[in-house]
Amino acid sequence: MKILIIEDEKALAESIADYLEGEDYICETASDFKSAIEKTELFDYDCILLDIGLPGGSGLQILQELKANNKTDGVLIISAKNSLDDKVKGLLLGADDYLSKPFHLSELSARISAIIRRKNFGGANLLKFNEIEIDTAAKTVSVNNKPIVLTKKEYELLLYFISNKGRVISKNAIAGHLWEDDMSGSYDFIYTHIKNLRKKLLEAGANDYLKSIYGMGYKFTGQ
Amino acid sequence: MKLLSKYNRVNILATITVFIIGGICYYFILHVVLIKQLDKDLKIEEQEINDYIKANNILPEATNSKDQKISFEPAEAVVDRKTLSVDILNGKGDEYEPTRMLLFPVKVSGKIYTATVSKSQQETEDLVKLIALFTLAMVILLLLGLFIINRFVFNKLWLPFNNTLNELKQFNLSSGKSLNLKESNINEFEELNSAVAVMSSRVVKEYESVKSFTENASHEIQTPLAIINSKLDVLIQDENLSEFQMKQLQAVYDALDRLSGLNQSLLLLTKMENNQFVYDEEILLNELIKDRLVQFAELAGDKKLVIREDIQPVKISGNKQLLDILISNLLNNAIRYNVPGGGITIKLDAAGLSVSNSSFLPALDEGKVFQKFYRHADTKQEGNGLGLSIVKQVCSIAGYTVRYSFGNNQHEFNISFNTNQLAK
Repeated sequence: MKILIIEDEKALAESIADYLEGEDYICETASDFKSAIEKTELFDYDCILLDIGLPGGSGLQILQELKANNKTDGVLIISAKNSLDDKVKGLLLGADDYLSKPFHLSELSARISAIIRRKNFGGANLLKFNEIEIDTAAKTVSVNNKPIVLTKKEYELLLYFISNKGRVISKNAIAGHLWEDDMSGSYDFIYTHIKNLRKKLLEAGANDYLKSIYGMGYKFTGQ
Repeated sequence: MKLLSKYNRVNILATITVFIIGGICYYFILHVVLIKQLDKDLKIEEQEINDYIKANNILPEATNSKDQKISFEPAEAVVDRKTLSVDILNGKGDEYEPTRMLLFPVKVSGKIYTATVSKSQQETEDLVKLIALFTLAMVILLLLGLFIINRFVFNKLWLPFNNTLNELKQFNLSSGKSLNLKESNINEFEELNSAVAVMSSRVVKEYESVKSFTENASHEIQTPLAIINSKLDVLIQDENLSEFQMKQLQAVYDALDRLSGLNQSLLLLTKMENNQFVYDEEILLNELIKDRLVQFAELAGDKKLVIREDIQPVKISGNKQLLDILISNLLNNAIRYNVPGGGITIKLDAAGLSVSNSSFLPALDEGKVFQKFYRHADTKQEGNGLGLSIVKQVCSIAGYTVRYSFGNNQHEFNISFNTNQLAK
């Protein structure tokens, strides 16, 4: 899968690329308006991460160009301008999603995989991780082809983990994903939800993939 | 005291004093002059009597006319010549009249007489009275004149000043409207207007620059925050990190979360101050609250809080995002500062929304509770101290009033809606 990171902050583009390359994505970066336009004209990407404030022009203009050229690349706007206007404008122009800075890379990764799923399979995708299967259209989960019943939060957690398989996800990132608002003290709830999720997966016959990392985060891994 | 009243008081006092002193002086001067005139007349009379006696060597006939009386009395010794004012009975004998009298000695064929010539002073007194009356009338006329001038002329004269004052009173920095100062042909007011105009434009400029500074600063902070966050996310993937190192990183994450939250709140406040929201969405407030309650159910359930709801359907026009933040902040506080097993009461009807809850905190300072970064001393550094300022700001933009009260160990936040915004 090819990702284009259009971001003028080199340090940020670098971390994004580092993180995503660990998940079998091939990343390219463009740090200004001109090189971004060149790259989008020459190549096709599965997903484009688009910063709005760029030297030489606005990211929204790039988005317009893409749509004018009938490009089907998925577009995820990442903006420091956390304004509803930009969000609405971006989505109206055809962006697939919007993420305001600062964000967790695990969140970014989950959003990218959701966009790619929607693009490639029209949203009716089955996400598989060994014996676990998630139907993201029906929002159902089965283990060894036997459906299991998860709460909404447990489902979101599992999807989040599988979108970031093999990566350490901080509790802060999980809290930010499950509850958009500031929920101080929500770490305890994360623990409860993860405990329940793990229990349900184990009872259904799945392997124990969830590892706690020194109490500061979790890792969903097959190794 | 009004400038006009103060000025009038001084003015009227001075005028009356001058008129009274002037009147008194006038009275005395006139009196002296008139008496002198009378004395002159009496002297002429004396001269005539002496001439008559010299020529005829007999006493002239005594007369008693209305304004002049001449009489002779035999005297044993020569009297000193003198003039004096006395009150004597008038001709009709019904009242005393002020009279000027001249006594002088005359000799007729060796016999000594005292001659008395007297003239009534009545006319003189009448004249003086008339003058006093006239003076009084002038004073009254003057007061009347001042009253009319104040009533009609002064109000008109001060019109430009009052206009400027009204403009200043209605001056609102955040509204972005400039002052509408009317031109005046009075130098002082024109000077005032130009000073006010210069000052207000400077204030507006500085306010704009502070506003844009805050907004730009908040935006600029987002990017380094994003970099730190992403670097941490990459860093924790390192499998060689020790537990100790992970703990340090956790603390960095937590601090970063707080900083991000703070920055978000500041940005939100600035945006509200910059009027960057539209307020014409139709919102079902009861549904917004129910949605939020579902989201907070976990948090409330953990503390075993009892939530009492009395929520009527209310449709209101405003900004959905802001109202959502308002409700979320109120509920978040009601849960966060509650005691285990405590309670929350939520009431919503067309008049307003009220959220009251038990808490481990004592009564809060009503004057400070909505201030930025106000925290009660007993709270841990959990919140960023901006939640209630945001509530207040959302309310003031929407035209609601929000009040805090404490009673029966319940903290209550009461929001009264602006009834114009309630949709039918």
